Amino acid sequence: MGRRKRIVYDPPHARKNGKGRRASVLRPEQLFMTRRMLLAKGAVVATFGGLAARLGIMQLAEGEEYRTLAARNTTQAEPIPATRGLIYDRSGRELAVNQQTWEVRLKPGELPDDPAARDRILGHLTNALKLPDALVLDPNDVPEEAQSIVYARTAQLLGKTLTVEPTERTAQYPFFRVAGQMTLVNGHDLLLFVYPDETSRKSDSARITANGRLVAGQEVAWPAPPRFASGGNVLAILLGADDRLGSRVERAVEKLGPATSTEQVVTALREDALEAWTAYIESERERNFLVRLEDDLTTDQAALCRAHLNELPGVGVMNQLQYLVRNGRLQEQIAVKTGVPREVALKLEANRLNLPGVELDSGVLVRRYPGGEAMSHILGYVGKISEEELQRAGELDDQRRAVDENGRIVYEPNDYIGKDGIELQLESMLRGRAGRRIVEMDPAGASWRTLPDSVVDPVPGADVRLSVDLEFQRAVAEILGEGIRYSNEDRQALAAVDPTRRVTKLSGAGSVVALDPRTGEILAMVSYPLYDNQLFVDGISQRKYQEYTSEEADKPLLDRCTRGEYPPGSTLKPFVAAAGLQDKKIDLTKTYTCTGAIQVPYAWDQSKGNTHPCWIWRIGGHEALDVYGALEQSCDVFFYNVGAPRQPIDESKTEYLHYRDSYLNDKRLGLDKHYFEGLGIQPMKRFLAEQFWFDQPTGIELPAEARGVVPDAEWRARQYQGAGWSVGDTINVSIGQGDFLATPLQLALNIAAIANGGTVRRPLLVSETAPRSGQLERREPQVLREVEIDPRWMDTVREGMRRVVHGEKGTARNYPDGSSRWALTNPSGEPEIQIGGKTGTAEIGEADENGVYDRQHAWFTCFAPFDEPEIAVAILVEDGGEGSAYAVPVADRVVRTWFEISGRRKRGLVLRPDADPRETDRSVLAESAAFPPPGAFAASGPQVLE
Amino acid sequence: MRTRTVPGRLPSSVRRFGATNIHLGDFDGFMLVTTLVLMTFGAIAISSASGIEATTLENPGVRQALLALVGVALSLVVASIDYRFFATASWVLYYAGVVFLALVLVPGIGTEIQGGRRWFDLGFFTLQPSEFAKLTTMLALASFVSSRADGLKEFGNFLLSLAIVGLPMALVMAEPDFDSALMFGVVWAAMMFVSRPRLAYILGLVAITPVVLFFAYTFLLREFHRVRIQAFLGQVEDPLGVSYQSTQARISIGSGGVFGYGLGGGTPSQLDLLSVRTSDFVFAHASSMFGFVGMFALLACFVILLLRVLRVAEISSDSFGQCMAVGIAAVLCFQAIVNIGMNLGLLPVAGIPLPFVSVGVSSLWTFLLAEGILQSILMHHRKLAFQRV
Repeated sequence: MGRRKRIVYDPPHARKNGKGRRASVLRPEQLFMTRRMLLAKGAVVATFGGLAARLGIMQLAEGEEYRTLAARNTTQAEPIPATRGLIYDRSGRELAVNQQTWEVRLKPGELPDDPAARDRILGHLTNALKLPDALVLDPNDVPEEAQSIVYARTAQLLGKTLTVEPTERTAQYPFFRVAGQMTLVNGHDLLLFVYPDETSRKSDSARITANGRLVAGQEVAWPAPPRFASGGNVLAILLGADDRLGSRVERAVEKLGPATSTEQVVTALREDALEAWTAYIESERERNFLVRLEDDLTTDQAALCRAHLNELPGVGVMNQLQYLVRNGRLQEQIAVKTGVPREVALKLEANRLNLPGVELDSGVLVRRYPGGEAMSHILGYVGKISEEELQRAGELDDQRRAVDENGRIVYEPNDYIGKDGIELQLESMLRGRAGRRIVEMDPAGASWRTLPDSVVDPVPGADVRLSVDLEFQRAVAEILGEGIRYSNEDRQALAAVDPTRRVTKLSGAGSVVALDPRTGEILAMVSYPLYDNQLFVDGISQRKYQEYTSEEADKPLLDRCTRGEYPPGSTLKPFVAAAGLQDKKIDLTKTYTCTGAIQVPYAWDQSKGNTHPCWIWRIGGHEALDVYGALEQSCDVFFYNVGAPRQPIDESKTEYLHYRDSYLNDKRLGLDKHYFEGLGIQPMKRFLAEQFWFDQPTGIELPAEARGVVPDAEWRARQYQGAGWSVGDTINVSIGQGDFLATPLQLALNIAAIANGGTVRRPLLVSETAPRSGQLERREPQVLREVEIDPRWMDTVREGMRRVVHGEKGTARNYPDGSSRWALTNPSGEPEIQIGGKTGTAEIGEADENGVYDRQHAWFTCFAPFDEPEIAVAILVEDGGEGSAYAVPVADRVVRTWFEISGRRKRGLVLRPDADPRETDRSVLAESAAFPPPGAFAASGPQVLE
Repeated sequence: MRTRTVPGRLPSSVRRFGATNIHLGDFDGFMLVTTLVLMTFGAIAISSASGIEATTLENPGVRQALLALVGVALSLVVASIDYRFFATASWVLYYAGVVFLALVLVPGIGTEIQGGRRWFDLGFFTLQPSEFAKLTTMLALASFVSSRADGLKEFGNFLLSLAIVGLPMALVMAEPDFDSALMFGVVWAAMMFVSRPRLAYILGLVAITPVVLFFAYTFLLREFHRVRIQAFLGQVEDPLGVSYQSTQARISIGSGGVFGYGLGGGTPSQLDLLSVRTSDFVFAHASSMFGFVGMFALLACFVILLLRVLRVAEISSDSFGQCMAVGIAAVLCFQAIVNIGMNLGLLPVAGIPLPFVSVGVSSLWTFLLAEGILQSILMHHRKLAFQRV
């Protein structure tokens, strides 16, 4: 059989020659093939023999050893967290560090099954850690039909709602045209004046000064401090309430319709509070099994709630800890409290045998922010990683740890992660890379030995140095806070003596951005109000969080510098002037005369038109001004002319766009037609967005930066569903009003570009990064764009800005009494440092019949020293009134502070000589930095300021 | 003198493919049986490793078994076709392979899994074109080499042979899948092994290889490849847990002992410490199930199979058949050695499946189709023998 086969498979040639030894008759190539095959077969047998041998050694000879290894082989990979990188300020002061603390954790799955034993452990922990009670709602236990009642009652118990009780009492005041209906809101008197229509209400509202002491020029003796709110046909006066209650009433009243009765107001007040409460519960329901209605009950509240529990199905008072256990997942660890004092932790540790399921970790690093609240917006904060963040980081394994594509654990459920600011932006760099060790577990699952050679050391996060100077930042934050207070008090004082002034809204917010125009380095960036980022690390209470996000408290969490979008008002004029000069729409000799306002005729009826006032309209107008003068005095009419283009007024092309001088005070019009021959919106947008850097993010290393808006017809049609673009819109943009929006950072960046001769640089916030195992990396300044505007015109604009501060009629030059607004930066006796600047008063809110708005943002942008600028600043006081009055004094102090820090001026005038920015509870400012007393210039007579 | 069969220029009687000169008696039963044994082995191991009840289609072992049956049927169909047809069609197949390799790189067509774009998702299973491309490239190269007679002594032809392999290889690298790309190199090396190029070319290639490797290591390999290699060379501490995996594999194998733990496997599998135990580490898992006795049988199966494949090279009547047989043997052998060597801790961790055993329909079908071609060579190698009798 085998023999036959061999013949069959012998190659044909072998059979043909069939004699002698086969090898001798093979041709060389066949001989080659046979040899190769022999080699191949040999190799196969040898290699597989080798593999079999190795297999044999492992399974037969060493089998026993491997079996013991396998039996013990209940090993588990555990990540070793990396220490987070530190953050330093410009001069190496610590801004973010890691502090070693104790953390108490709980593994609910390991608590005893016996309920009594469980409660004993939880109770012990609660007492030891002093955890407060929480009021908790189990949505599944609330019957559908009882839901609204439960929500309403809990709102009442916790003071989340308003108890509104109408009374029969009325109050008659001679200066109000209707009688006031007295209502009790949470025990405070609320006077409701219900007018027949909205117009009559408005005319009465207009007679009240902001502090309310004066109504229609008469002093009123209110029984308690009043707060005013109005909406629709209703005027409401709340007496003696705190800010929270006041804001709530204000919000509800402002929403009222034009025809509301007293009963409807009462209902609206009740419903408004309940609506917010219901929305809160519903949103919490989506994320939790149990809803925490209040996480920090005071003892009184707890007692009150307990007394009412029987009428509230599904609601219970339980301890924080019980809540955490019930709301958490069985297999997950719960971090109960971090930053536990040492002695408490040691006591728990000693008692450990009696506390199964409780874990203590002494090595937990907690983020500390020694720079204080002034740094909060820049640094952001870290917090416990959320479910969504975990899922975004990688795939979740069975222990709910996020695993990356290489199988490495990147985040665990209890990890900290950057949530905002630099901490979020540089998360991957600051975090470093977790290490790993493999631990052997005993049968109970407790780790008892780390496998030798299994430890992979973590790579610590990189340290980061910011360009911000902590001392400057702290000083600027204080100055801005003081500036806002000064604005409020001074305006109220002026309003008390000047009937033409009215403070409709007090300022509560603002921002300052200061950067180095030579490099783009951010020197200080303050958004006000500040918030405490440390609270987020330690666990913020709901109450505090709500405050931080509330409109009433001016949303402290919002970083106004990078995320706030505002009309820049007149501070846009230098850019518009540069554009007009470059595009040859104006030259150095071109002048326009301002009579206080212009009227641009309607296309359909040229006898009527839209009035666009200049800010100076109340006291007449400006004379004929060239571009220098227009910048110096911030003449709006000049810039209307730069902005509005020569184009037909309508499709018939019989007439071109023009205006007539308007004399608002005399209510008459000039006869001459002045034809527009300015830029037009598209060229203006091109200059602002494609030469300067508006309408796009600056690329600062902070998350979620806003981009601002340079509007044009296309944008407007998109934004407002087909709304048209008119010349009025172009006119608005040319003085930085209307739909034009910019962030304070954008403004500072662009002013820096004017200061440095036309280079737009990317804001540099992170100046150095230093990986622990690697090269210190210095971030180089980065040019975003060279502005293509003739240096001559840039010089012209700069000179105009110099005159704003130093010119005879400069809007930022003197206080109304003739004293300098720059007494700190340039005190007598020290050589003058020249400054280029621009004031701005951006009008927002409701316009009256003259087109005058009831709210104003105060702006000032500047750079200094004029010849070799080393700092560019943008200052905003929201609802702060006139820029020249309330933003310029802030600028004087900010600029002086920087020069004191940089050494150009000696310390002591603004900065306390012995100031230490690390003492966060003490002011860094000297007494001489104080703002003028409120009403200091009231004697100088009525003021009309830009 | 024997006339050399030149693909594409066959006598008309041969060009018609069909059963006219098929010899069913030459079908190699040994080859089929060892293959079936290996696949059964694999299906059981996969089924056990997945930890899913073996009665549903959810269980990858069950699916593997069903797909294996389909593959065997395909293989038999291929075997019945005259292998010279494949020589004729090799270029069409080659370009089709290249096109699919390119298509898989297109987002939306190819499915991305863990950073690699290697698969077409067909619902019930996924196809990996690089596996099939190995076979089509082999066909093209075999056709090229055999049509050039001693042509590889010409430098141009030698370079062309490199180009034929280089194109699909580059596309596979782009996925990126360096482990699979390596197998194309093996295909080429096998062809050189039987086609006698000038020694100088080979030496030249060997000389520039370090340069190419350095370039590839620095610019082409991704971080995790480098770490794997360094981890194997002991140069870095092992941040990816590669040597941890490898340790678990060794514990799996060693603890299997003589007879193994039976179905279910050892603690590394049961505690989920041994990862990818249906694919890359299926050998380790199987070792803990079947012990030395079972695994020795598995190795023996591989040896028998390889010897049967090499036998095809010996009795093939033309250079195309020889090239194909040697190429298939080389890939089969190389994959088995790399995979088993990795499991035994002898070679670095690489994502290369164990032929016929690891989970994955693409690899399975490719080898079954290759065997089909080998069977066809066996059954069609007697050139017009009936006319000679």
